[in-house]
Amino acid sequence: MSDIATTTPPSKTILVVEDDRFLRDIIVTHLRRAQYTVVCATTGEEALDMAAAEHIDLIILDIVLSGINGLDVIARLQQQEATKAIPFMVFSNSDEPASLSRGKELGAVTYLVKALSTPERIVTEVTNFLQSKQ
Amino acid sequence: MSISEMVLGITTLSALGVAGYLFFQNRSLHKVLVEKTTEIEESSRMLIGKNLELNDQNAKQQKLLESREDFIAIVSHQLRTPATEVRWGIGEIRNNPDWKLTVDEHVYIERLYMSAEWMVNLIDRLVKLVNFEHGVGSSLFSAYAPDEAIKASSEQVKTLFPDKKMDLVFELAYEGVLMSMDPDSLKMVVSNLVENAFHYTPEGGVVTVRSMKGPDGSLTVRVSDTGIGISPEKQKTMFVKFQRDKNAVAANEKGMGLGLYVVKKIVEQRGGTIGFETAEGKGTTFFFTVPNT
Repeated sequence: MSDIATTTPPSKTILVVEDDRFLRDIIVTHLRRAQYTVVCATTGEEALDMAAAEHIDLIILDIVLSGINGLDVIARLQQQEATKAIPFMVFSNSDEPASLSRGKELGAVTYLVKALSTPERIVTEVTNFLQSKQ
Repeated sequence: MSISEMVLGITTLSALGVAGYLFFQNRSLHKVLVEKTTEIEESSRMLIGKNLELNDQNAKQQKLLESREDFIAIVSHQLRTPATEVRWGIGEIRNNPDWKLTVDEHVYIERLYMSAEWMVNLIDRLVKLVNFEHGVGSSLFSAYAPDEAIKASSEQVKTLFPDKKMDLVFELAYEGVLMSMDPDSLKMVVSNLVENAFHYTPEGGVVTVRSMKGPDGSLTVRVSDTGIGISPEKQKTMFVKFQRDKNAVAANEKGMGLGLYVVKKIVEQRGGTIGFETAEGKGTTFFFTVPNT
C-alpha cells in the first residue's frame, strides 16, 4: 500500500460522506496518508454545501444518512452544472437491489459493501480510478 | 344353470335374506343408522374443524417462515455496521506499526482480525441466502484484478486450518481487470470452494487454485484437491441446500451444507456456469466461469 502513496502525486480532493464518525475518521486517515486532500460531510445537506463550495475530484459515499440519503445527494448534484460531473464511489452496508440499480443509473464508479471492504481497499479503489482518469 | 345364473341366484337369495333380516331388524337398524349418521356428521364437523385449524396453522407457519426470513434479513443488515467497526478498528491496530505490540498482543490481534473477517463473511452469506430465497441478488460492482482477490481469499482460508499440513498452490493467469463480478462475491465463491477442498482433503494433501482468461475475457477458476472425492450418489445433489453425504459429515461435522448452494446462485446470477470433476479417493476439481461484461 505504501508504494501507492509515494508514486502518486495526488493533490486531488476527496469528499467523504459518512455519518459514522469512527469509520469516517479511519477512511480520512488512510486517504490523507496517501496524500489526498480530504473534506468530510456527516449529512446529505452538508455534502451538498461542501460540493458547492469546494472543487471535488471524487466523492466517497455512504447511503444511509440522516436527512437526504446519499443517492439523493448525487441526484441533486447532477442537476447543477458545476457539480454534475463529480464521480462517486459507494461504500455502504445497504445493498438492496433498489439502491444498487439507482447507484448504477446515477453512474457510480464502484458500489461495494462497507463491511466487506477495508480502508486500504478504499484507497486502492480511489487511486486506481483517479490514475485511470489522468 | 350357468355360473353367472348361479351367482345371480345366490346374490338374489342373499339380497332377499338381507332384506328379510333388515325387515326384522329395521327398527333397531334405523336407530343404529341414526346414531351412525350423527357420529359421521360429528366426525365430519370435527374434520372440517381440524382442516380449518390446519389451514390456520399453515398460514401461521407461512407467516413464521416469512417473518423468520425478514428477521434474518434485518438482523444481518443491522449486524454489518458494528461488524464493520470491529473489523476496521482491529485492522487499524493490526496494520499500524506505531502500536508496537508485544508478540502475545500481536497473536491476539491477528486472531481477532481473522475472526472479525470471518464474522463479516458469515453475515454476508446470510444476507445473500435470504436475498436468493426472495429471488433478488445484489450485484455490486468495481473494476479490479481478480487474481489478487483469488489469492487473498484462498490464503485467508488456509489460516483457518493452522494445524492441518496442506499445500496451497496458485497458478493464476487471468492478468486483467474484471467488471462482471464484484470482488466480494468472487472471494466468497473462491473461499467456499477452497474451504471445501481443505475440509475434504486429508493431511499432506495439495489444493491448487488456477485462474485463466477466455478469448472473450471471461474468467475461469479451478480449485483442485487431492481429497476424498464425491460419491456418485452425492454428485446428484451437490448444489442442493442442506445436503451433505456421509463422507462430508465424517470429514467436517460442522458444515451446514449451504456453501455450494450459495456459490452456484452467485455464479449463475452473474451469467456464469459452475461444475465439478471428481474421483472417489483421488480428489475433486470445482470450476466456474463468469463472463466479463
